[in-house]
Amino acid sequence: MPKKEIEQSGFSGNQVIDEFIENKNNALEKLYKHNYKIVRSYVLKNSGTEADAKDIFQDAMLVCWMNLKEDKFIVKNEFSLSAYLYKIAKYKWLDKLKSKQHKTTVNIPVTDLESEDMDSFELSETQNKLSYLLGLYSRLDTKCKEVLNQFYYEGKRLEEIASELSYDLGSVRTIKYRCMQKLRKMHAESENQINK
Amino acid sequence: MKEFENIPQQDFERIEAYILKKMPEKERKEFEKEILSNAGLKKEIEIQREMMLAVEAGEMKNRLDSIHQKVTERKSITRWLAVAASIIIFISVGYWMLNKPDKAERLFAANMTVDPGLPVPMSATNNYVFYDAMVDYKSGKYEVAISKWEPLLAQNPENDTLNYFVGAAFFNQEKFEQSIPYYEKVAGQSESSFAGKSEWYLALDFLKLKDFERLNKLAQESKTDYAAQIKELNQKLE
Repeated sequence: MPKKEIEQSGFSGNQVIDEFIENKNNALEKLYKHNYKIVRSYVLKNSGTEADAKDIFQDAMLVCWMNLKEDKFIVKNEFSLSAYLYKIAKYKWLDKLKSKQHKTTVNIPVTDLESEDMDSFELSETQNKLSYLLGLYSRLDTKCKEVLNQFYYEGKRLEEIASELSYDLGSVRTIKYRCMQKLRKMHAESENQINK
Repeated sequence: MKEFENIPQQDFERIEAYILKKMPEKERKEFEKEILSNAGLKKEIEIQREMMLAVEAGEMKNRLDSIHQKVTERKSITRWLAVAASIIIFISVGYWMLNKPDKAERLFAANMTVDPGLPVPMSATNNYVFYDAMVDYKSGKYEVAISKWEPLLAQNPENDTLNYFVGAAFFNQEKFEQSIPYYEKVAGQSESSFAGKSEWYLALDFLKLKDFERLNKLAQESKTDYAAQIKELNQKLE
């Protein structure tokens, strides 16, 4: 979402982090560039492939982003963000290896996993929520995604979106409303299934 | 279980304005009061927030993927640059190596001379055969000249004049390889007046045959009055 006000916690005082929370591409690229190598290195050294490294890193980025947005974690500067990101990635990878171990004879540095003072519960809670939400989103059609992305992810004004897609303003508003209701419905239905 | 009902668009937009902090101050305060007394509204706001988060997370995931391409592509670009650079270097070296012979050609063409031969005395001479052949030489009948000189050479293998001109006769027919032994013989005779010229023609032979190694050696070792010229020729090749 654009235009984060100071009121919203997550204002870290650091531009890159703020822009990260605001989904700004520059910040994403910067963080990716700065942090990917070390995670990749860790994964590769611990029986992982390039593909594994990519997945783990992107998952970690998303979790990190989500936690920042939901104020589950306050970060003051990029160093602590990097450390946090790395921690998440490590934890995720070791976790994955552990589940793999049932099938192979992979040697996990067990001490690593135990010594992590990461709140594993917090991590899995965020991850579960994230996976769930991603699942909902993936079921949306392209037309919906198009409008919703531009409004909610990129923070464009309705007028901008309307002119870009050659719709009139009213139509865009309606599409946005209907698509969000679709999401809402999918959510309600899955909640029903879970039997909350 | 309650069946799902869409909330009206107006309500939806109102909640959205609140979440996105686009609500005017006064309206926001009233809205917040309403939230306190309406649990359903509070829940709905929470859910809508999550749905917005779903959109953001979904698109973020896609962006991360394309950023990954971009970031890791850098590496392959550098690799490509390295490959491109080495190809350029390879081509340059190759060009230079191929170019050297062309340079040699041009240098040869620029420096090639033909010895005009010796003046033939009008009156009778003891060396009739020699000068008879010389007449052939001067008329360009090099093979005839050689055939006449060869028997003389057989009897006087060390004769500098004979060796020089037989060499020259070959040289003028562009039979450079064959001229070499004759010139070499004379070049080795430091007292001979033909020594310097023989060295020079040897240099031209080597240049033409692209035997840069021997040319270089000759340039280093030459002590005749043609030494400077030969050195210069060798240097021009670089």
